[in-house]
Amino acid sequence: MSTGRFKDLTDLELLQEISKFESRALEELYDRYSPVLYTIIKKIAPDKVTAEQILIEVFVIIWRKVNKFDFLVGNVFSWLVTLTRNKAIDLVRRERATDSSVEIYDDDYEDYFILPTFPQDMDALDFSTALTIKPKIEKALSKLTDTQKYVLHLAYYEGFEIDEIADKLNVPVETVRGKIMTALQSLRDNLVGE
Amino acid sequence: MPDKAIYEMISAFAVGCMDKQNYMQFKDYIAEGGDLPKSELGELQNVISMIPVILELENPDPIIKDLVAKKLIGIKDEIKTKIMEGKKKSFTSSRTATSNFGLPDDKRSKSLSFIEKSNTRTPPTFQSSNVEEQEVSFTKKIKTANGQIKKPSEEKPKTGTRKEETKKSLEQPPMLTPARIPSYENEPERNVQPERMSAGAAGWISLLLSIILFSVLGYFTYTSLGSINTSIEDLKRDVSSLKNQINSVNSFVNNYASLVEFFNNKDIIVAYLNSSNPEEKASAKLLLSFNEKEGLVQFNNPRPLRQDQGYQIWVLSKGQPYSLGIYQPIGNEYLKISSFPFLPKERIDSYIVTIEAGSGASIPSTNIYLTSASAKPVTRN
Repeated sequence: MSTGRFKDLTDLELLQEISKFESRALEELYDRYSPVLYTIIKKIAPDKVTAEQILIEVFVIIWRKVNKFDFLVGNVFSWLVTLTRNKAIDLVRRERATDSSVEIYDDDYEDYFILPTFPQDMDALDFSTALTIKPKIEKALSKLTDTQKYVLHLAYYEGFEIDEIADKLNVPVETVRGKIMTALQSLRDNLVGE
Repeated sequence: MPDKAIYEMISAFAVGCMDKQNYMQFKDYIAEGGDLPKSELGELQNVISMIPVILELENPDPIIKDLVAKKLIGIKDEIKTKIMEGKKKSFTSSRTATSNFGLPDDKRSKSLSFIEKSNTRTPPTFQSSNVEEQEVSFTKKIKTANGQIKKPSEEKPKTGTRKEETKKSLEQPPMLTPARIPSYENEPERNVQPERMSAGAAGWISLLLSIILFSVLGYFTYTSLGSINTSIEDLKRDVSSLKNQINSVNSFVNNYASLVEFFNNKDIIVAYLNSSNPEEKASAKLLLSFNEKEGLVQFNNPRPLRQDQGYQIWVLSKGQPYSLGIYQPIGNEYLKISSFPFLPKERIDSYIVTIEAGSGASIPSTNIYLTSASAKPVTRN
């Protein structure tokens, strides 16, 4: 399906149109972002059916909660990626939880735990820029140590919390905190150095 | 707090691996504008968001897009319900709930440091002695506030002290009958004048009290009216916003209702028509159900036509053209196929779109605008 004039809009302009409940803008956003968001979800979700279900839910959240997006910060790419990752991880964590302490998923929960929180001084990033620097990201990631990569994988894609990672690796919690910090900072430094 | 701890928290928050308690604490800290190293969190959040870019991108099944559309249609009812609820809900409660994210105040904190999960996991042990102790201290506090009254069992009796008198007067039960009205008959004459004066003063006092009372009432009415007016304005704004949502969803539903209804058919064939001219951006999508003799067409970026012209769709079967009707699309809406030939789908060779004048031509002109080599059947469960 074509979305005419919306094709030429930037990510931010698209979200502005969606905030006016323009369904064709959401359609264009879907065309633009569904591959990357679906890929993230597939990496996290246990199976294809669940991944597809999460993707649908993510776009429903975007439609319903676009007014929670900070248009001043304007970081559409990171907002969508983080929102999608949070949604998928939430499902994985719920399935992993064995006790009855899992919180009810309602609007308030979604606003607080699924929608991303970004600081005001954050730089905006869009999809095309992220795709352009893909080789740099690959190179920067390859420079991390195996442990750093593994810790990041456990935290970001597997959704393990710090103490769970510490249990898994049989190391103190403080070590895991330090490893995550070093890994992220190295990744950023490597990216800047590229 | 040492710098390292802040950087560790920022990193853990950016990656999304904080436990719930630390997450809430940190999130509230940001929301309250807490100090953080400049641009550190934003940079790390951007870095972590870029990690998935290196994955081999995979397209979701095209049917998912339709499912998203269906789901959004379903939201229409939800929005309607919200309007109804919005009218019933009191503003105060809804606002409080929203601003607090439904979380109790004790979950929110301004301080920032890692909370050890091991400590929070272990529930505090409430032994009976502790509870009693707490209860006693609580009782003591209340009684102290009420005039140094302590438990009778703890207090040794003291005689002749001022405290004792106060205690007694406080413990004295209130009088249930009014005190006897003193008789003025036996009072000396000098007492009559002050009584008259006090009656006049009482009048003034009651007048003054009435004025104060009316002023207070007026003030409260004024402030209440102001607050109610603000609430009404807010409510109007909410209703107007929700109406906009409904209108938008309605237009969305109208746009897609025919598509959703059409997808109930099980033998759908999809044909994509494109121009042979690579510079021409126009295309069309043809959805046909031969069993039901129904179809939909969607034109994308079609060239604007004169008012007396239209796009005529043709089915070619063994070199013979059959018209599927002539159309004048306005946007990229789905149009119902107006004429459906009695042809088995196996005999279809291709589809073409020509630009024709007026109510259509009996045979296609040589001006072929879009063409499709073959049709793809859509498998549906």
